Amino acid sequence: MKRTAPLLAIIALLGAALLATLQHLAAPRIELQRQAAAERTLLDLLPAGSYDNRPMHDLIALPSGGLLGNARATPGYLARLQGQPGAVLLPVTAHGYEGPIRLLVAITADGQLLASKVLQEQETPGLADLAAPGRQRWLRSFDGHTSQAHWTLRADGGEIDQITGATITSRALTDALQRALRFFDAERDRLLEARP
Amino acid sequence: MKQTLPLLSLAPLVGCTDLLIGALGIALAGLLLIPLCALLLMPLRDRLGSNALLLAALLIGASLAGCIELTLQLLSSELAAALALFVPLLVLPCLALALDKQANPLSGIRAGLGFALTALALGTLRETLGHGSLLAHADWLLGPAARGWQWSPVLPVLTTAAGGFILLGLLLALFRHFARDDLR
Repeated sequence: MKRTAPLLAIIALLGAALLATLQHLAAPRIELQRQAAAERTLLDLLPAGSYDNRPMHDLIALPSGGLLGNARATPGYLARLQGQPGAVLLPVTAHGYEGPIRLLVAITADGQLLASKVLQEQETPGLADLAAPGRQRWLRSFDGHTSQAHWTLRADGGEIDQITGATITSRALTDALQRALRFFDAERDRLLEARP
Repeated sequence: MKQTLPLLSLAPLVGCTDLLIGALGIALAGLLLIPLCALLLMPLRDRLGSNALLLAALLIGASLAGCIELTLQLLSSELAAALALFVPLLVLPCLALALDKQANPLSGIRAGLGFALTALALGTLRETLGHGSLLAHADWLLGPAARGWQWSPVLPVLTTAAGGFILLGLLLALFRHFARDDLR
């Protein structure tokens, strides 16, 4: 048993060397895969085939604060089809019950809400966690709205159902979607300005 | 002890087989890793005491799991993220192999096959009954053209870890039942 320690050390060294080599060889391609996956996750708001550029590389500089309410200046993205702007993706921050909720909102060139999704949230689990299928359906029910649509919740005398037990969250989200649409209306020309 | 460790090595399956594509990923990983580990442990068995052999199995299993994780990341970032917690747990079957005195590469292949088949059975049942779909997210591994099937779910509880645990228990009970019949 005298040879135990050297043998184990050799095994550990061989394993580490194998992993280090593989990591070194694979790192660039892994990074590419990671970026592609991140793009796919963000871009599933846009219908497949509705754009032919790489929106993640077609950045729109947006200020922090203002109507969008983002704490940091986060860029938006422009989707084009055959060179024509088709839709913009805008980051918006809603003021939720437990803290800020970050959303990504897709708006068509004529100012309709195409789709929206929650990127980051910390709402109460079980009550208002926005990843649940029912909540996602609720968020999807606003697709097609414009800034002129009826946005008032039933709790405030309007016609839109809020998430049960999470009125504040619902109000924050509808407000954020509305702000994104108003921001688009106000800055439409700058956002869609054709750049090669 | 001899019975529990191989059973424990099925534990990672509860977490990652709620979709068939995840089950497929972990099944392939297990099918590759477990026999390979058994093969590598073979020459060490005479040279190391039982404690040192456990340590060696841990090192080998961890290195191989690391390689598999890197390969997964190369193939699909999403699948790698879905399995990230569970691939390192494949070290457990390696430890079970090291503890088993009569283990040889053949038993390693058997353990790998058992692991993979359990994963696929769990994945198929949990996705068809729990999610009401089959091969959802298949594009993770099989390219963007791959599309699964959709219908309405029957037993949504199966998508949770608790449901997976219950189903694994039922499958094991079924397996034991037939194994005992064979013995008689």
